[in-house]
Amino acid sequence: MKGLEFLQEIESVTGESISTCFQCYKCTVGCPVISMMDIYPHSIIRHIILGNRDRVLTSKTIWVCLQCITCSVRCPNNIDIARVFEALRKIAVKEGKEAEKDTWQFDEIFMESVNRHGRLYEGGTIIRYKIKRRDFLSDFRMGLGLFLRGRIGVLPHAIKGRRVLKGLLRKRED
Amino acid sequence: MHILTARNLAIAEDAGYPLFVPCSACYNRSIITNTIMRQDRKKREEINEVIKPLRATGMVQVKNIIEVLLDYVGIERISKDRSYNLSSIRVVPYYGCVLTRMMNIEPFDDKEAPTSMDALLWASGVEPVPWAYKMECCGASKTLTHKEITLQLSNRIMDMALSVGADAIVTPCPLCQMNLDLLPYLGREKENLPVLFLTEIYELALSGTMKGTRGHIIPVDRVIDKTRKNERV
Repeated sequence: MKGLEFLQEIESVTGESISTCFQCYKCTVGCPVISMMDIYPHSIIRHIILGNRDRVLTSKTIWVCLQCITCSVRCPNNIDIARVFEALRKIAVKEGKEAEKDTWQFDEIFMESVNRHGRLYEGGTIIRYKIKRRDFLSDFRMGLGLFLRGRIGVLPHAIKGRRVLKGLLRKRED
Repeated sequence: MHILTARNLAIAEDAGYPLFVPCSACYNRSIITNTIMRQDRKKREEINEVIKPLRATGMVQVKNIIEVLLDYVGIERISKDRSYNLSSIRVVPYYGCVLTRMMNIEPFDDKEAPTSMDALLWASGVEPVPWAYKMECCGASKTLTHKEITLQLSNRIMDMALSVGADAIVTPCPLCQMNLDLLPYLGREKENLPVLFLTEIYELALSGTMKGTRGHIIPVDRVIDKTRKNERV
């Protein structure tokens, strides 16, 4: 039997009472992407309680999650499961244990774009992501189609007071 | 975590208007931040310290497109002003996943079975068809990183809409509209239904045409063809 350190760590980061879980499976039953998960959401919660740290942090489940918060809203014990997954992602990346890199890389590039322009610059974000993945051909037709229909712009639309925003985000990181 | 939304809220507060948020996810985040700013004094001070000299108190009203149409236009006026007959168009109302799903906050409509857009659609003259996937997730931002997830989820939604005999899917969320509209590019080979943003239905009811047809990937002709001039007017 492992100690309670991992449970206490996650509970204090998220502010959720994970230990109230009585394994009703509601989160798992409602999840739209359950077929692509290696560990079911209710099991993740149980693993946290049991202290199986690596099992949880290396799982694909936390990255497959779409953050649609069906599980959180339905939880009879009011555990925000999607938020727990989000916290697990951060810890997994910090410790280099993430099961896949795509989602995190995309999120980083997304935030970088927000930081630079004050809002998302879709075209630039997609191209940066593609360069990072070294994959240019797979979605080329989709990108071109969107561009021709005016759904993706060529140039970024910056907001007023970008400098101030940059300062805000830097302050947040400190 | 709440800094970007708090900044938007502070600017809206300063301008003195309610804040209209078109995207469901942005709306959800804004509501959560707004509630925290109003109820949690410690966090409010913390966040305000970061966004200085701006200041948010959480008193601004945050509205989505459904609320804007319900509160500021009203069902009565919508049903009176329409000059085109859309009664032969059957649509499925697709709310998207996070519009009313919020933790510890009372949303504007039911968490699992919202009906506000159904009312708006009845008022516009189209026929909303009851279906099971009102709030099923479309795949959200996985479109770029994990195409197969978005394809699987959006595919299921499109199949369900086809099986209940709808002519179009109507959604108040721009991301849902985008993901469902992208289905031909994501690899779906079966028949597709046009995916309309809620306001496009009103454009159709008022003018009989749609200016944004070029922006749609799945052609919307099938909906426009079914629009008839109102004989009563």
